[in-house]
Amino acid sequence: MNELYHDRREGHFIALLKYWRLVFNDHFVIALFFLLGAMAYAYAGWLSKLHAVEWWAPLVLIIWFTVVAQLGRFATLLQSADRIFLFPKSSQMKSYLSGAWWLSLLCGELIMIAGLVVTLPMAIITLGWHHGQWILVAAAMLLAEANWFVLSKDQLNFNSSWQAGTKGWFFNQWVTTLVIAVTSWIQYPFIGLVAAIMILLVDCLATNKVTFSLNWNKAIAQENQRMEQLYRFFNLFTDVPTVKGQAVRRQWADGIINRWTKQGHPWSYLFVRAYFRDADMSGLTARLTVVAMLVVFFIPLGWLKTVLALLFVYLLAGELTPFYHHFDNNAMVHLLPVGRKTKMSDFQQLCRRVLMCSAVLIALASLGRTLMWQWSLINLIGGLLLAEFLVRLMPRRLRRNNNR
Amino acid sequence: MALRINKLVGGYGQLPVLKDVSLTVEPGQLVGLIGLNGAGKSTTINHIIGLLRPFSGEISLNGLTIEKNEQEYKQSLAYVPETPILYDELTLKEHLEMTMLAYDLDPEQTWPKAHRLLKMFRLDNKLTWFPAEFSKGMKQKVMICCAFLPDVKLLIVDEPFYGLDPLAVHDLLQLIEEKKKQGTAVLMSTHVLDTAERYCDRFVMLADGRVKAHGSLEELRQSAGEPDASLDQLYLQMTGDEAHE
Repeated sequence: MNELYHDRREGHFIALLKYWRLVFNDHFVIALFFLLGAMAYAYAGWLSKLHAVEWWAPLVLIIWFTVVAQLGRFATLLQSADRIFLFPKSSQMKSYLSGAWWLSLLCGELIMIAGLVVTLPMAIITLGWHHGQWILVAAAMLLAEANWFVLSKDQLNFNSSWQAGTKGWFFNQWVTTLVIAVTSWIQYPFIGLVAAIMILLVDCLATNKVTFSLNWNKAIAQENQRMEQLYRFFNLFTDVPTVKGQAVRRQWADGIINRWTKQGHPWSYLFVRAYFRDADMSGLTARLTVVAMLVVFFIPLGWLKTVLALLFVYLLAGELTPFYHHFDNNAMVHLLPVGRKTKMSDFQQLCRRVLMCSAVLIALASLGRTLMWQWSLINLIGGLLLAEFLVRLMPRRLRRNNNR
Repeated sequence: MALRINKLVGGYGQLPVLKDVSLTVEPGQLVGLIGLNGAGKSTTINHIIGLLRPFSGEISLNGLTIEKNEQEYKQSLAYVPETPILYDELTLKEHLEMTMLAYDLDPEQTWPKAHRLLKMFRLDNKLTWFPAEFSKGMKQKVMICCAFLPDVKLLIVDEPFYGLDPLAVHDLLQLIEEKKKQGTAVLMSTHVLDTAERYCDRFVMLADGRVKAHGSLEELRQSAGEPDASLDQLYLQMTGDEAHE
């Protein structure tokens, strides 16, 4: 079983590596690079205005660490077929899961360490603790994370003594972490550490008291959900074949869908609906627009705002262009008597409207905290002109891509 | 004559699957296209609906060919595929609207017909549902509703009974009867031979990409020398040789 786990782990890492490579090669990374830079810049500016002993600081830290502890996932790497093929080996699954648990714990602890590193500057300024206290509180947080994983493994045990159902475990994972965070950040850190050790011991004893019997359905459903979340994350940056965003009704968009649909144009009918209801395309443009708005809002330099606003409009057009082929694999568009003549113009009309809406929102956000309306006006005019230019360029770009 | 296929040679890529296939479907006639798996039924249908282009031979629909009159040709036929193909982002209501748009149908005149079809297939309370929410059978019913909406010259139904409940099968056969009475030519590919025997006017038996036999049940019986044989027995007799080769 250990060998099986090692093989799966290797395969999983290779798959992840492939996706990470794609992530670091795409347009979105440029956007994230600017976003992280802008956020770090804003965070540094905010830190310089903080005073020692802020009353709200422990509250922020409690919420932060309670949430960060929930970010880890028990990666079992189980597959749907396992419930059939590995069923006879159920009794040996404990050793398989043991390797998976330690690796998952390691990843979870790394996330917790990242959470500590991010908040450390703020905590140092606002709490004024000495080194020993920092070590105690960090240890308490790491133990809280370990406890979260102990409870995660117990969820997969049919014979669990708690039998509290998914909601019960969910509640336990939040409450125990909250208790450790409260005692650490509001009480003295030493008390937090003692509380963390006690809770971890109780949970370990309670979960080890009963024999382990794997709940196959739950374990596989959980792993599938974890992988889907992972692939959805990768899908933000690149095309993941296994992720097919399910169409969402979005009733609130019905008005705009009807307004944007050209009467008597089947392609317009299809493109507009697919754009608003396809979780991938509308989500991608919405996220990119929000990131663009945040970046141009926080950056204080007017000319840099303009460069970035135009860059984001260009990136948005780049992301929209492949949407032209959205229906290529649907045989119905070939079977229905729908002419191809209006396909390009209907697609361009949709892109024009999406790009112009995004350009207006980005220009508005570029007003920033100091209301730089002159730069905002420049961004508005520049954004709209660039959007129109890029829309007119789309047929040529699509032809060029087809020829490749 | 609604559909006329003359000496069709065709298939996928360079590989000819159909060899010299000729058949006709007259207006108001239901023709059963019958054959073993891999006999060439779906390939024939794919050629008729224009998803494949013939290597040689000709397919015409009321004198129209897809090469010369693509739009008119496609507007003259409707198709129910074996596996439902729907738009993930369109609701049931929007699929019907899309069909009306594609066939240039007047929505005001067409919606009463659409409502009748929806009621018949018990989909009338699911107008806002997306394909992901439908079962396989329900998706097939959506395809049937869309295909029966326009008044076309030729209706092609490919293995229409898979996934349908018995009531829906009955309703579909009733609809096909209505279409026949209106003068629509219907070509139906199926393996459900007892149903085909009861409802089809003529049969085309395909084997290894060739038309093995064609005609009414009586004509098939005569050519096989089995005056009392059922379609099932004729089918097994005619295709048995190929199956065991």
